[in-house]
Amino acid sequence: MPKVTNIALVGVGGQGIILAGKVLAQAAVNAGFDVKLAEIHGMAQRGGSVITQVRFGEQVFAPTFGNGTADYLVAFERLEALRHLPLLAEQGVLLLSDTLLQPITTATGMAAYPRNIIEQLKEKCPRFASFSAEYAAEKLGNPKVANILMLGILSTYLSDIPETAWQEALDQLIPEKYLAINKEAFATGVGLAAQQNEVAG
Amino acid sequence: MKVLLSGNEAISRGAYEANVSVATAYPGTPSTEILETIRQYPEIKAQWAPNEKVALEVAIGASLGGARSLVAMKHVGLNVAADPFLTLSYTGVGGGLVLVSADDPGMHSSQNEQDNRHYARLAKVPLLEPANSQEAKDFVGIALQISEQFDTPVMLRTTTRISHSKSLVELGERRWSAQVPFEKDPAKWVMVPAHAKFRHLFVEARLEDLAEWIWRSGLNTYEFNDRSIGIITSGVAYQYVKEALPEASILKLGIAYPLCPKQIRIFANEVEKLYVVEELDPFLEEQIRMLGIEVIGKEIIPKTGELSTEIVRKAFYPEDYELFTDRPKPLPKRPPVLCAGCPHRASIYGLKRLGIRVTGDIGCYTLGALPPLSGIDSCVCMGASIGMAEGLTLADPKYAGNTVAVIGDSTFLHTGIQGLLDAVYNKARITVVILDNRTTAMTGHQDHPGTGVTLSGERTKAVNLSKLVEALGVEFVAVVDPLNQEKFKATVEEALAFDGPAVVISRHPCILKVRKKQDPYYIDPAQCTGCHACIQIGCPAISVAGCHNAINQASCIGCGLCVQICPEGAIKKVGEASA
Ligand SMILES: Cc1ncc(C[n+]2csc(CCOP(=O)(O)OP(=O)(O)O)c2C)c(N)n1
Repeated sequence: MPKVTNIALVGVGGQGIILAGKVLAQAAVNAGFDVKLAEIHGMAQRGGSVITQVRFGEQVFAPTFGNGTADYLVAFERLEALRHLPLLAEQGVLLLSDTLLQPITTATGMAAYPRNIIEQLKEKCPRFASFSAEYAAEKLGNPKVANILMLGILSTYLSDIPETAWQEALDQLIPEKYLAINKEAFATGVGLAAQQNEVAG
Repeated sequence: MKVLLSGNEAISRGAYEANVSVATAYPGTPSTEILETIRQYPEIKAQWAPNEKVALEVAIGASLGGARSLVAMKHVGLNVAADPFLTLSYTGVGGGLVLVSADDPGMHSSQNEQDNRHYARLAKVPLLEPANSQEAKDFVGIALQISEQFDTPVMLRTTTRISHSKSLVELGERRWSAQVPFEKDPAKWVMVPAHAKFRHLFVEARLEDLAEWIWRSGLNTYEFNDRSIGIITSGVAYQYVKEALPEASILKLGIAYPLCPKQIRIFANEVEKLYVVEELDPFLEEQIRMLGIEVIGKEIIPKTGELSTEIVRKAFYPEDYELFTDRPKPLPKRPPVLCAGCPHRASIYGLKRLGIRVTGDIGCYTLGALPPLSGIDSCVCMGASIGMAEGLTLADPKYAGNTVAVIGDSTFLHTGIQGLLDAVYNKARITVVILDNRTTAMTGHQDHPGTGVTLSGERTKAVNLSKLVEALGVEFVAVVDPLNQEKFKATVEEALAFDGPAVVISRHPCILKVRKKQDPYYIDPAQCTGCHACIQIGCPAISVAGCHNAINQASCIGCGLCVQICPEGAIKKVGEASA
């Protein structure tokens, strides 16, 4: 079967993952691919764990993919990165926006937030890169654009999707008044990716 | 041009293109966006109903008047609408009528994972199952054609993965179709026994005609490959099969009820071993077996939860998966929580302090059943809280005057009114706390008859909850803001002491609707004794930090509930001088 690229975006409700998924999927459409995007609405929005899956290629059947098959895992929170790590293929790339958000279970002391997540991620994933995306986004004026900033980083790995396809997707999906800052965030992500070498395991 | 649409958006587009002129629904995940996107087409009169039964009845009326209509609901919504639905099968339609049932295998946001394909069989109506967004759009038009050609309502069933997955769709134009005007025809539309007897004969004949028609409809397709494995499948399961077993031969059913026996037999004869891959119940499998055809299904395919490419592959090639047996250490869960500043937290916590029984209902507030709040004792279906509270008092008189039903405003107007009527009629000593946050929050803030705004955004009459419950005969009615805990507690205590059913309207707008952020609070470490009383309210802005607790300034919206709970007075407003 022709190659399908599998990408999972994971994090916490409210981090803009649904929008990031839409932009990614639209960019793949603009690049001429068949695309499927799977998201979950409803309860997940109330601060719960969130996952969006995007798949593109010549022809895509299933909207979702299983463990060991993600080419890219883009995580917006440490614990969520660890939770969804089994999705990643052996040679898959993990891109982390390094934030720590206590779930209610650890905030209330019912469970302990794991201490050594970054070490575990490094150990289990040879192609792992971590970014202070929210910090960089805040410097642009709004920490919320960390989602698009991470897409900028991801875009440097997806050579099949040209820069114009991304720009068009942003034009199509971001409301006019937020467009400039989101484009800036995207460009910042591209820049950060160029600076950062993947951390070897 | 091809555009990326979710299954729900595609269904809306399909309705537009197929000349639907009336669309109704009550919200419910994963169906909600169908009506939310249909309202962008001014040609379609789209409206929310207070519940699914009324939504369907409005659509039936529109059909009677010759209009093409669509009604959408989540799977459990059809339980509520089942009464009109089953007799609608007998009357048949005027203008075409399609009922969209969005099922939720895997229960991403539902209280059960019932398989609504059974409703098609129960009602003896055709069932279409799209496998992607393109089909979701096209099947609306096809459903309406079938509806008018065979004089039947048609069920279009999606699942969460169809409704909420996006894929490419070729758009078309709106096509005109003739509207047959209302014609008086009691033998068809007045279902008294004398008429219904004949309509039942018609329904049975209709099913046979349909089975024959399916044969040439092109809705079901053969894909012959390696003939050692033949798979009958439909809906999203088809996609998993294509991916997991690219070599298999497939009979893909676009119409999953009724089956065309001839077609099934031909496929069965062409392949060595016949399988059915379907989510949830052995719906197709049992019917195929009834045809006397040998088939493997639920022996290898799970009956619970969603399927996936992985699960299907595993079912056929278990040996491939033997290696992956090590289970990772469980990580702390991240369940959804009531937002910081959510008024429901104040209501549920206030009730918990009273040490009473609390029967619950469905809505955001159901999250108050989870620890650390753990303030709700039951959740069955929309509207159940009131009848269940009454039932508790019947089981043991010690619960009389000691039991509260909590129910959201949208849920109260959905199916709570009758429960309260029963409580009045039978003199139940219960208190009903209506959690009036002025919206249907759980499903994404839809308006309802209590908000004064319609689906299209027009102003309308808002039902007055106090007057409504008074009219039902409730003699104790009070309105209180739950964020004033002292007043809330006193009001509920008064209600509990009242000799008869009492209603407390706990009113404070949903925090996501008003988005008003006041100055946040902080915990003064010098005064915090680490008693963790504030942790017990389960606010996502408060966390245990060493021996004290801390408030996250970015998430705190300054509702002030925790301040009323801290026994040490250690919680203070940022910017105010510490005492
Ligand atoms: C029969 C049925 N229809 C729809 C739903 C989906 N649903 C769950 S709760 C809810 C409404 C919640 O609104 P409300 O009672 O006002 O509580 P809120 O979420 O605003 O707190 C809906 C539509 C359902 N579970 N059952």
